[in-house]
Amino acid sequence: MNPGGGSSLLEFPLPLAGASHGFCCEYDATLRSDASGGGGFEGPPGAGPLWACLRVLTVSADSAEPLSVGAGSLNEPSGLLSAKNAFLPPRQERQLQMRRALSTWLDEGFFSALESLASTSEGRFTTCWARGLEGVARALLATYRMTSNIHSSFNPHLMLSGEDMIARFSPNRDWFGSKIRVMAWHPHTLKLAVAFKTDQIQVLGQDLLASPTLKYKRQRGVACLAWRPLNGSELAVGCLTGLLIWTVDPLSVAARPSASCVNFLPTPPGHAPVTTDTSMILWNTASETKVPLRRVGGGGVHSVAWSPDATKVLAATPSTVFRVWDTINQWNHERWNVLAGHVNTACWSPCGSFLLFSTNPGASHLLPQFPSSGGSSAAAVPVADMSQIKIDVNGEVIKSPMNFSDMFKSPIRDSRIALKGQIIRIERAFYDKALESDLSCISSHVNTACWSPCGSFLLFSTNQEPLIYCLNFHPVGGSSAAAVPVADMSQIKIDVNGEVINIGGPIQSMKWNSMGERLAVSFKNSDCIALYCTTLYPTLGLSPIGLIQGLEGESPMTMEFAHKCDHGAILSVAWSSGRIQHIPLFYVPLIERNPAPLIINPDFEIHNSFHGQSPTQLFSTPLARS
Amino acid sequence: MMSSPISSPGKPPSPCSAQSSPAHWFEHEIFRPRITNSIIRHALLTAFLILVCHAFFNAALLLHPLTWMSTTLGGLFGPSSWLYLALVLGSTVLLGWLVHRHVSTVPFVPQSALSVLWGVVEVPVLLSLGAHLTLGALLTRSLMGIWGGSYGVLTQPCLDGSEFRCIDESHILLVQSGAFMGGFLWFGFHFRNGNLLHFPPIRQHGSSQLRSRLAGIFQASFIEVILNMRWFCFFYIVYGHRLAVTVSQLSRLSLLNGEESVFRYLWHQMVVLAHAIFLDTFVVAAIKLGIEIHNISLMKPVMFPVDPNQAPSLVTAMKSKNPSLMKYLAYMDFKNLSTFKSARRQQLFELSQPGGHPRKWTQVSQACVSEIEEFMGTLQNAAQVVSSSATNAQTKESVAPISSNLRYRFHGGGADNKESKANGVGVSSDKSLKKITNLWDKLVQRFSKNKLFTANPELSLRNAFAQCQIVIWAIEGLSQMIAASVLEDDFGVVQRNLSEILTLLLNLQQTVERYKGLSVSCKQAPANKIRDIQLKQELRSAVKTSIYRITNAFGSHVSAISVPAEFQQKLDNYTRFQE
Repeated sequence: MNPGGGSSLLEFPLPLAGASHGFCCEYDATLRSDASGGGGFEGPPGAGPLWACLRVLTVSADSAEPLSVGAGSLNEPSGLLSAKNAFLPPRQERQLQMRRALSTWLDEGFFSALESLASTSEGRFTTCWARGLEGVARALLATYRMTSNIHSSFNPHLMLSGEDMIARFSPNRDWFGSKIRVMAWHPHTLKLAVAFKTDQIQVLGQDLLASPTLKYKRQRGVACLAWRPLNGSELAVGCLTGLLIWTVDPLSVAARPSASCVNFLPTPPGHAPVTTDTSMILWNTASETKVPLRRVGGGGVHSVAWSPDATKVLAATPSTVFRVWDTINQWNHERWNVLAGHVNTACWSPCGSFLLFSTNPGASHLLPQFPSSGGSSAAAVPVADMSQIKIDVNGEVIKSPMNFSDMFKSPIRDSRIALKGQIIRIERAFYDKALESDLSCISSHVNTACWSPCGSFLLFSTNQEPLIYCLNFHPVGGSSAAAVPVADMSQIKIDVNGEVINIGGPIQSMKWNSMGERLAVSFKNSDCIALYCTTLYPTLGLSPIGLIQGLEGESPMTMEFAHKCDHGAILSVAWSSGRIQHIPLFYVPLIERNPAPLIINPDFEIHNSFHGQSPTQLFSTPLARS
Repeated sequence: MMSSPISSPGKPPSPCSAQSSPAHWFEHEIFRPRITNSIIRHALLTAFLILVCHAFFNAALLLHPLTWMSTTLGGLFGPSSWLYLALVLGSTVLLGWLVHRHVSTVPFVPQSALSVLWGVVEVPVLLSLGAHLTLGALLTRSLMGIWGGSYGVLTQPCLDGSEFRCIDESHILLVQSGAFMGGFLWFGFHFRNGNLLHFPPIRQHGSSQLRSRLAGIFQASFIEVILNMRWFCFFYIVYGHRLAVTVSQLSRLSLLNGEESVFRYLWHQMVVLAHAIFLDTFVVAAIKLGIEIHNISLMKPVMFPVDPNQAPSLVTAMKSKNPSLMKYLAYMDFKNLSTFKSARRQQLFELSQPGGHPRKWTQVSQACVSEIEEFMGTLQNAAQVVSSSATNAQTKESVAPISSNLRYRFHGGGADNKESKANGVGVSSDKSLKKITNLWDKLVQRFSKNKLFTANPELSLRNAFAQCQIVIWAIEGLSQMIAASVLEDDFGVVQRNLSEILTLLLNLQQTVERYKGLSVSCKQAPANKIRDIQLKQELRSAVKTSIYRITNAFGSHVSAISVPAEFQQKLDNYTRFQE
């Protein structure tokens, strides 16, 4: 990868011709397909057990359908139907009003109870007492709505309902429509948890005696899943109602674990699924105690990502602000701003020194490094000439004449501006009106992010730019001045056997495997997945491997890398048809090519023992757990 | 805000001299400076909050900002307020003394109501009660003096324009309410883990911690005052008025006459009640804030030198019995260094020169191992108490009816009957004796079953688990060190006792799982009552994670570590993530 210019989608080879058979794998750094569906492909020596395991892990949403409540439940938004609608109300109106309000208060909170009171006294039996109560409830509600409207005017996402909010910020491309909503690989073993649209979760694994299906009444609208590191059985489920901790005994033969296996951690109002106040809550799941980390600005937190070495946490907000918390130094944080679009998707490098993130129009950049936990702000290191950076503005490719060293002089120390924002500023100076119209209604946030295994890099993207940005936390020569775009994902059209297909565009999701050697990027408006080979040392590099397509009419909904694979990596993709495809990526890991430990961070070295530690959204890695 | 020049986490503590013991060094270099520091911070914060409230009261003058500011500052720093500010400062010093004397690292688990009653009559606790009552009354009176208002002084003119002054009973009521709330705080401080150092799960800056808890403290104080006010009203109706009468008799001034109409009287009482709620909320919040500041300050990490040749070394602190806080901070430091500090880990892996012995690692690991073994012993002893009491209960249940029947038969049948027939006088006395014996039996049985007087044997297990914070840090520190040794231990010092430590961890897990009792969810009760249960759950989780950490770090090489045959299968399960 050219450090200054980055890679673009034009460098990718054409999509696989045999992908329509539903089999795909990487071997010898190229993507291959097999017309026989993989049956004739052996892979590297010793890969036989892996094929057997992948066959066990195969599941589709259709197989989970019989366990659902009804055939139509797959098409019904969860939470809209309630059992209490089936019961007749009590006769006495006063009882009805109070009972309903009380039960609503217990189930859904104070303001829902007020809404219930304000809407109950309809009909001819309305008494004076009921009308008075209704009036008080309406007055309180009006006051609340007025204040919340003022609050919401600053944070428009607060206007959304819970499910809409999940759908907007979920890494899943179509959270409402997708039969498979979320997947999560176990960090240490080949065990996969899959959340379906029916709100049930299925756990698959080679060593499991049964494939348990997890279902619980509070488990509605599953937004994210995470296995607890250094634990064989605990699975965290973030959903519409709060946080659930399942204990799935690997030696159990129960197909439907009982409610005693789940622990519901009550989150305060406004904390599920996207926080609507400015705090992020840190749970100690064993003692069920929580620590709120509150900072002003941002309007909530929609996504968090631990760096693999647990030294940093990315907290992306629905606004332009995102924060990187330093877990070693008393949980101080660095506040960052993106000007164009929110960070769409991001991931950390395995060493934790780099953070990659993406935004919208096409460019590719690399930022200077900045220090990690030391707190001392080393001078920014100019690494590339801006003339190498191509920026696609309204279809016109502009080469910036500015030098990187000029761009990193951020006037605001506490609120650093990401590079794209600075580019825009510079472009304004030189190309004035060309960009002003585009910038007039900017409202963006970090969309998705992932850490490198060492915790030195964090990749992320915003919701408005097809760019992958990188933040570098490398302790040697790192700089916290700005984030660098490293890959250009601007949409292109290519002709494959006479069929024109779109590739690229705004980034939906981005996943980095646990060793930091493969990066997969999915898009909002394209049915392909871009697969990169990444190198972290001496500098971050992205080399295109290929584009992955599903069967005809399929689009990728969500994807995950398995955290443990002896022959390279496994990329699992949930397609829109409900099919999960496991794509083995056979390559020789760096640790085997170079037996000497790769020291990137003084407190962290990539080696086999840390192989399994991976970024998760809900659980920290055990280093940070007390 | 909470940084201390002496014991900041980033700097090693100043070495103690050869003559002074580690306990003496800790007391004079860490503990007392932190208490002093906290007193100063608490006094400044309280003064600031008083100023804010004072400004709020004068908000009507906001249209004239200069007048508003001068009135606010003049009211707080005027000559008449100096005495009250001095009293506030005195109350913060008193609170510092209370924390200094009574701070605890182990949660209090009440064995029975009788044990609580017995704890009340201990002299230090009674002294603390006096101090709390004084604290509450002092702060309330000072606030009333500073903020002024209609109840700010003890005496009022008996009539409008009259030169004669009378005792204002409302003033006495408000001061009494402050003292009353102080009494409640005393109960919470000693018997609801108010004096417990609750070590947070993450390390945050002191000011961040305090900021995040500030609103919660005021909210909790308000709710607590509202709930306790009903008891105060009851108390005042029964006893409180007598104090006002006594003050009136001592000062030879009559009490201020009440309002003429019932409505005005009720309105007056409502106003006084509102004053009491506001003042008490402030007082309770100020005291809780002070305790929080002290706790945050005392729980700040201390970085002990790893080198055992330096006087307050890590090993010395870990092995010390007294003060317990030093031991806690040493284990916390051990856990922190093993988790985050590779340079300090490297020091532990070094060999001694000359000689080439792994003294540092051996001493530290032995300290942890002995601590874990001691805890397991405590747990087993507690479990024995539980099992023996359960056996006794079963025996009583099975034997008691038979014995009473036998006694009845013995007293009522055979020879007795013959004797009673032979001696008619003895019949009535025997019957009464029998009744008394039966009554005594029933009484003993009833009291022995009453929770008020009998300790629940399960509580002895809870008491044992309440002491496991150090064990959690020890096993986390050991497992982190062992996991790091894969790359950092150049001399293989960890290999020497790896088998022993792994066996101990497996044994600990077995012991904890055996005696964990009924799993109680932590969210079923207020946190201050179930801290021991939280610690138990944390311990279970920490043991499991620690074993996983070791097996994950060593991978397939774990099979080469020799462990007893009974644990071999379990270790295999851990290797395959099947536990």
